[in-house]
Amino acid sequence: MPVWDVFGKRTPGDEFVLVGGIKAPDTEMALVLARETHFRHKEGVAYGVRRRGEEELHVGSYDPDLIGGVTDRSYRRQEAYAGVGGKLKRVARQMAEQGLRIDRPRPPQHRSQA
Amino acid sequence: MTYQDRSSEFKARIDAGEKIEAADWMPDEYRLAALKFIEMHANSEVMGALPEGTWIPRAPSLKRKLSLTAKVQDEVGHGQILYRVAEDLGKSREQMFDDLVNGRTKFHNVFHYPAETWGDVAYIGWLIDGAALVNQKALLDASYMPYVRAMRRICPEESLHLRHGEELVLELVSGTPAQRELFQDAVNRWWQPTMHFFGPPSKKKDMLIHWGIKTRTNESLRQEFFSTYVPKLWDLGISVPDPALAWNDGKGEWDWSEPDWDEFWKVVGGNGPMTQIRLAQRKTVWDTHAWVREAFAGIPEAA
Amino acid sequence: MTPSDDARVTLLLSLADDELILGHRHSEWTGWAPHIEEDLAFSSIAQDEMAHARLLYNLVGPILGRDEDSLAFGRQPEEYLNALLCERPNLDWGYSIARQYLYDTADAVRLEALTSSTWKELADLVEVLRLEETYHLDHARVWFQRLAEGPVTGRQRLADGLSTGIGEAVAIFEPLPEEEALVSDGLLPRQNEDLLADWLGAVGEELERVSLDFVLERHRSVGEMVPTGSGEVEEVGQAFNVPGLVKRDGRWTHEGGFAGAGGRRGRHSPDFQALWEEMTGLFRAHPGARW
Repeated sequence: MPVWDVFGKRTPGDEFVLVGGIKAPDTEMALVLARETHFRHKEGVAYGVRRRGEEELHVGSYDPDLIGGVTDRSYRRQEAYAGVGGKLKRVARQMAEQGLRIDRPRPPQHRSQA
Repeated sequence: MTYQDRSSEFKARIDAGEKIEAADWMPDEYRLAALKFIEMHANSEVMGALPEGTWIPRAPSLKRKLSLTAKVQDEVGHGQILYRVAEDLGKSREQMFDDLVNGRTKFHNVFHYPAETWGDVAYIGWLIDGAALVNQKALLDASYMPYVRAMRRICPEESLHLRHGEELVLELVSGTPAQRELFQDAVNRWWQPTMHFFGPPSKKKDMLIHWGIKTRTNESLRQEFFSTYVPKLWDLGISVPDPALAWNDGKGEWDWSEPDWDEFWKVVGGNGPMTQIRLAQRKTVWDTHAWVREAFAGIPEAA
Repeated sequence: MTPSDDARVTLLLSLADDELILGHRHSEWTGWAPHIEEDLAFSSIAQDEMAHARLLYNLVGPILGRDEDSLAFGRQPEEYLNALLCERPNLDWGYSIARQYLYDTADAVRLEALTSSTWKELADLVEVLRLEETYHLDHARVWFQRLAEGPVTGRQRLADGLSTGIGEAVAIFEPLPEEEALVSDGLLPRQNEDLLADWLGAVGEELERVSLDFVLERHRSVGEMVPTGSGEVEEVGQAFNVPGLVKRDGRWTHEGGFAGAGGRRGRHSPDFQALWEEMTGLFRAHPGARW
């Protein structure tokens, strides 16, 4: 089964850059598979596949907006978890107030009370 | 130039910090060491999808049903990236998968265990991913550039998974007593496999360190894991089932109890609690879907 | 006559439950699909369906005073209004791919009609959902082509999957309770019967193009699917005409009864109970807990 090199553009003004590879039996399948293999986290606005040993770059036809999904993907994006560190501090404070914090020897930088 | 000379020159380049690309000449020992290591890493990602994957159908909220599916999807994606790198070192993905499902190659110990409860899902998501991330960040300095590029893609995704896992843990720890107990129970069962994960004390001549594929010892990675996660666990009032685990100011490192290494060797040798079941399931799916590979190849597969 | 709140709820829940239950089934392939890049693609499709369910639950939630998780996980089995096609186990890849093709082509017809719904929020939401569904259709068609035009075993697996799924796929268009009211008020712009006619006509043509239209002439019930190694379709007595499917003037249409109906009235197959227990067990075991 052929290997295809996969190219992507991060922004409309970029050139296509190699981002990885896939295995697929033909061009149509390669285009369908490359999209979710290499761009499901919105890593690009356009992408293309080129069969190893060949010259032609086949460019995917999806609008930039569609690549990586249209509806809410926050459940798998960094921004949605930005508050987690703060939450850990809050929970740690609660645990300390309830006397549940475990007070065993720890490295110097971790000694400050929450 | 003799093969020995070329090899020595190659080793000197690595020691000087030069990076190797797929098209470069490389000694067989290097190619095979890198292939075996990367293949095992790829195997671990696809086997790692299984314990958490069993909880996708059981996730207790829509948000978590989605996020867990995405997380497991990413692990499969990491496998895809790593198999691609390994393939370019000279072994087909089909052969690698066939070897995996037939028990001929290995994968990380932690993926031989069951995920018994949602507490396990949270533990795996935070602490196993945390342990993996400690390892993977070290691999960013590896000598083999295609592997480094793969890690540059994988590490940010793993960081996201880590935050997700942390969030799952915090919900349990700050939730009902039953939820807290789910997590503490998971910690109690998963701690030893986690200690095993970093590997036994490094051998004097570690070939992977020799060739610059691994850049840090097992011990130093384990110590980093302790420093990152144990204070947080203790802040959350969660105990670790190792009475010796404590920071030793005098030594400037953590004291800890060596786990049972016999158990480790037994597990990675193919006798973990879930090893045979999972491999058998994978083998069944692999064998019964030969027709898909055939349809992709356009030619009948050999029986 | 104006549809009752109940009728609106039925419309929304039938859409949302189809998406949730089928998304749930699709998601079970994550980590297991027979080709690693396809695993990723199919998992994205699974996530889309579940995400669409979530959006639909949030649209109907205020009417019922319930949140998305309460709707997704907190109802009794007879309150889920998904089509039976969605709740069947994944069986093998041939069935799962055939089902994805049958469902997403049917869903496309349904969604296109709903873009004209007089329920504006629904119409707007559906416009967004359709954007993501384009990928599902591309995916289904690429697989359909490759298997239909490839080696005989793949073609056979596709045919088996289509045979197994076609009767229950037709029942996606089972008329809804209070459908007349929904249609006359424009919430459902076109009757299910019309949508079914469009879908069947198009699918019939696609199947004819690759000589797989025989699957419309006979189907098996899910429990009796027999994988064949030869190129022949087995006539072993459990295959029978698809109820209601006939060819008129060269076009496939539906007349009369439905196999696998009942979903829109909360009557499910034996497969639903096991699915429901697995999907809702942890949620129900810890009432009110946050995860």
